[in-house]
Amino acid sequence: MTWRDAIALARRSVGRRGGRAVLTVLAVALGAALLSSLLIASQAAQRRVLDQVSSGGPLAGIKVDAAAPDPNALNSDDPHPGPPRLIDDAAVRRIAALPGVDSVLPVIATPMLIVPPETLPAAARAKQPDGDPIFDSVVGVDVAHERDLPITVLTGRLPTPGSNTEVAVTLDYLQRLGVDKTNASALVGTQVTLGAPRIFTYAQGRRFRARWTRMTIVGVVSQEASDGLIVMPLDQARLARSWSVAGAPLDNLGNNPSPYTALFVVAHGLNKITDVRAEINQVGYSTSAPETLITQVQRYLHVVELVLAGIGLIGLAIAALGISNAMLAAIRERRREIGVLKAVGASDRDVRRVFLVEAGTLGFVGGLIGAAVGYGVARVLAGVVNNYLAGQGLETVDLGVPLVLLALVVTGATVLALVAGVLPASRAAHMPARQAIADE
Amino acid sequence: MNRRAALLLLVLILAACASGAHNNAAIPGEASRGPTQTLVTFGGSATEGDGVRDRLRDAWPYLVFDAALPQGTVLVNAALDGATVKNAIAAQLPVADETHPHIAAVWLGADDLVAHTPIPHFKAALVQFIGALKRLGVRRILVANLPKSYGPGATPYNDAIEQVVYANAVEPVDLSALDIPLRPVDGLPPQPDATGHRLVANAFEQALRAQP
Repeated sequence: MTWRDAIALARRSVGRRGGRAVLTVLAVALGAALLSSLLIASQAAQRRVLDQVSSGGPLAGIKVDAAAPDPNALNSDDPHPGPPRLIDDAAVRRIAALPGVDSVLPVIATPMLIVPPETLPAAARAKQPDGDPIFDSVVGVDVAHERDLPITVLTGRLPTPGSNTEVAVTLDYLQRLGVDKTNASALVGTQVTLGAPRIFTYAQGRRFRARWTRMTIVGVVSQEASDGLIVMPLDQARLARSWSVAGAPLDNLGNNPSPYTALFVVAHGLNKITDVRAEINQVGYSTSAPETLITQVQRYLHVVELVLAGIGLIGLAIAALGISNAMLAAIRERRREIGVLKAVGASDRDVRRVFLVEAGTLGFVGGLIGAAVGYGVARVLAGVVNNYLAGQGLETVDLGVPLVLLALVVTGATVLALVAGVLPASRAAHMPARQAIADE
Repeated sequence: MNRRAALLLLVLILAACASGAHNNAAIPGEASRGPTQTLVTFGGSATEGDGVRDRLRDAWPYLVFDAALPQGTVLVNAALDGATVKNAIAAQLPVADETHPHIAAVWLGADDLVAHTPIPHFKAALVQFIGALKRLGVRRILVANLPKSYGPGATPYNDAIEQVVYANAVEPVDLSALDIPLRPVDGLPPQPDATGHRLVANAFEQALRAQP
């Protein structure tokens, strides 16, 4: 008997007992849906929590300050930086060449006079729309490497790399304008005028002169790259900083002449962070990274994931028992058929194959439906959760399409069904032909 | 049966995919990169913004910057109060040397009028100022004269400005016919108010929009 014959026989058998097959498939689908939805929700929650802990950046991210390290706090997650130290291109290259370093992204924070529009869109519902200029900082980053930065886009997007007309604003900007986080999207598309300040001496007094640019806000972000109300492409921040640094030091913000005010380094993995931080300290810079916190959080999240997977697997195991039961019932009903098969020359192996194909088919179809339903349920739940998060002005959860996880659920359901079908298939295979026909 | 199951599966997958569509906020579709050009404004206390409550929004350099120039343009207002042309050569011209502007908007003369700078000295200094801008490669140099509200004493200065403008082939911005409202300011001569700045800005905008 060929595989094709076995599949045809299994298909005919499933078709003849349609009601039972549908119920068995539904049981498997229910278990698979439970397992897949729990795992998808667990993975999304894990990502969200770790994103929060790592401030939206990569988990293996390390912040390097333009300062010498404090020798008493090298192992602390967030040590106090030592005296100021320049970060130039040579330092960037040196750190990028260290073993265990995946990427190095420069950060430029620079003082800025920020002039918001005089009137904000009505949808922003600003509490204090006074439109007064704000003296604070802007942060320049390489926006082409968004994934490697501790930046989370809450609405809109980051500026286009190389743009000289686009910026994103932070939640601090919203707060300064009295705009609630829930109305953040109303600021997208508005303009802001930025003045890089320079202090100089004229007629024996200190005077102020600025380098002005006019920008469109294209997104609202939460970021931990550096303190500042605005995120802009690195080149624009560099031009602004060069202008400001050429003047006298600014009283309240200072003008550290370092070309880069910080670096964001990504290590090859969480387990490399300690080594990379030690190497950067050796080079002479202060570092900070939430590695201890992330490791602890990850440990707890793994436990939660295991518990949820266990609950889903129990559901799937119950479904497998249902398959086993249905197959045993089928064998009792199909003794004559088994006898005839054996009488016309089918071997034990052929009979086992027919029943295993049947069990596997029920498991596969049930797993496929269950995975799709589970994904749908997870999406519906995510929609409800995202509505709540968006209402609170928080970053929403993106489930993505976890194809690997869904494929694993389908494979797991199929394998479990095959295991459940082994006993009934063996019983059918070992049934003597004469006895089978005689009993019938 | 099999067809029904396949159909059900397809519907479920499509429904799941459809619910995954993101609802991004509207993002402006403007060009992400504007022209890289710099405008430097030169002048005295009026150009610096004395006389208006909110100089960053109401002074003429910022009005011109907002209304007449595309995003991507950089503005540096080099003006300083009490700036005669001679002072401007010392304290404002270095800004042009540093920023290499594409456009220079010059409104000098009011402080020379107040300081009674002799006309030949004023004219010579203005020639030197504009010559320096030309040597720096500034593509468009717009030079404004004094409005009639500055009194009859402004006429000889305006004559000198007109002669220098035509002799050096730069672009004139004629304010002489404008009756710009002035308001008293502590420690300074009367300065244009917000309406006056609007009128000055309009004149510069018109000149900027005209073909060089």
